[in-house]
Amino acid sequence: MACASTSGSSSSTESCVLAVLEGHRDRVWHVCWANAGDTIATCGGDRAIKLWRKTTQGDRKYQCVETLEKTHTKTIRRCGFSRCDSMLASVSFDATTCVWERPRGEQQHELLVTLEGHESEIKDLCWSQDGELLATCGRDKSIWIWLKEIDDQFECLDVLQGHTQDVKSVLFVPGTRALLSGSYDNTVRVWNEHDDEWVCTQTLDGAYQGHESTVWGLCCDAEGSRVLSCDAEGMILLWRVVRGDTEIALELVSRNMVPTKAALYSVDWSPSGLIATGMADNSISLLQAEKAEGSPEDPGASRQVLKLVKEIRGAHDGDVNCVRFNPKDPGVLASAGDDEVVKVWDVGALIQ
Amino acid sequence: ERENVRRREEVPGLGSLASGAGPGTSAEDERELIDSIEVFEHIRDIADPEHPYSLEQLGVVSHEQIDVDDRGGKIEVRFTPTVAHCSMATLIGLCIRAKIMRVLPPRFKVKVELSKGSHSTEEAVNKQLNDKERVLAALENPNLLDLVNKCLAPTEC
Repeated sequence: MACASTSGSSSSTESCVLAVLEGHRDRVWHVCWANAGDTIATCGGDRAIKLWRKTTQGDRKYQCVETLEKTHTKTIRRCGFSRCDSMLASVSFDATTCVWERPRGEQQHELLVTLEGHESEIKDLCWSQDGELLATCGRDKSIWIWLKEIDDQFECLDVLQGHTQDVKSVLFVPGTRALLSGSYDNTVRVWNEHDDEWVCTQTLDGAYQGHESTVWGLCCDAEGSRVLSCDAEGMILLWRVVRGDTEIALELVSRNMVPTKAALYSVDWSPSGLIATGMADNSISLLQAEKAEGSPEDPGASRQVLKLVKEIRGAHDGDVNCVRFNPKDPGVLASAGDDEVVKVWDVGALIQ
Repeated sequence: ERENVRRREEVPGLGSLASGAGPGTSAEDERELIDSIEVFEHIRDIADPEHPYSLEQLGVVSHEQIDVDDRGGKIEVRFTPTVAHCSMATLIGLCIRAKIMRVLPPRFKVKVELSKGSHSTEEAVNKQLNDKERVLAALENPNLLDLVNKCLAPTEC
């Protein structure tokens, strides 16, 4: 079903932009927030990671405080802070993962370790909620699970094989060691852990009413009870996380199509329940999961669908590669674009 | 002459669509729209990776197989390999994409596809050519980039 439009394109979105972060010299692929909500890390085609912090002067303005470069030799595809923000991991098309650490009391990050193992481009990473595990995935069709040891070294616990094409995204389900992955092979897979080994327990493909094109992004709601996956043909699938005694499983709730059918590169769920998407048509959409209209077959209307709250056309002058809500302040959204800039948005003003 | 048109578009504030100048303004009228002929001019001389001929000479590309919507910011290029099992189809598509990325304004959304029924693995090649992550990674691969640059060399401006 299509998202019902409740508003047209906006001509006054400029006033909703809190900050435009300029400094990258190529497309920005990814943006992530520190869990404390005070710092943004961005990375992209210029092989640099930039850290931006709110300045004390002025309201909600950001300043580039650090640039980590000359380490990765190709595009840095994604980066992510560990749970306590003490470490930042980055993955690159150069087939390496770097883990950066900010020593206690220090202002700058130092390279802690470079993890090698993937054969080719690495495309995504995810830290587990307890900060112990780091998952990476990529072009070689595999997912690697790394355990952070006491001495700050990383040991590879398992290499997950099963996808038949590039793995585009990985996500630990909050509160579990279970992992979800999305791929160029059009599937979402569920991996459950037993004794440090991950087994693929579900392969959700077209036959399961799953995706029929490349799965670009995955995200979870704050409770870890619902999952969204988005694809190259403008489909967003909403899944329920079913928790058993030792395993989790995904159950399809609804299939939702963005009206423009543009490729969806990124999806994120704010702590307050709002959903954002970053798209190939330069737009960002804000959506909400709502109960479907009660049907005769489903009088309880337990089924949820996604409704369009706001479409921001021309959010960037190029593809929107990533959208991420501030984990501490759901009223703030950051986005990264092919136009080499990162924008910070006032969500409240956008949906007014 | 075509290149003059290009340069004019790149001057900030002169005929730029991004400046917010609406249709009907003088800036808009002044700029010559990019059409399929112009896109063809850019890709016709790309060398075939295997033959000493250009893509135009081999009939791989033609201006009839190009659609341009300048105002909508869309370019669609279809190409026809000389044989249906051509192992170079992906490389040819990558060359076309790389050339367009290098010479035309980034505001264009570009789709490069095999013409219908022209290749035994049409769907797989099309998927790869239109996955921007795959394309950009390929262009950072030194061996592939070298091949692409060789095919583009005669037409590089």
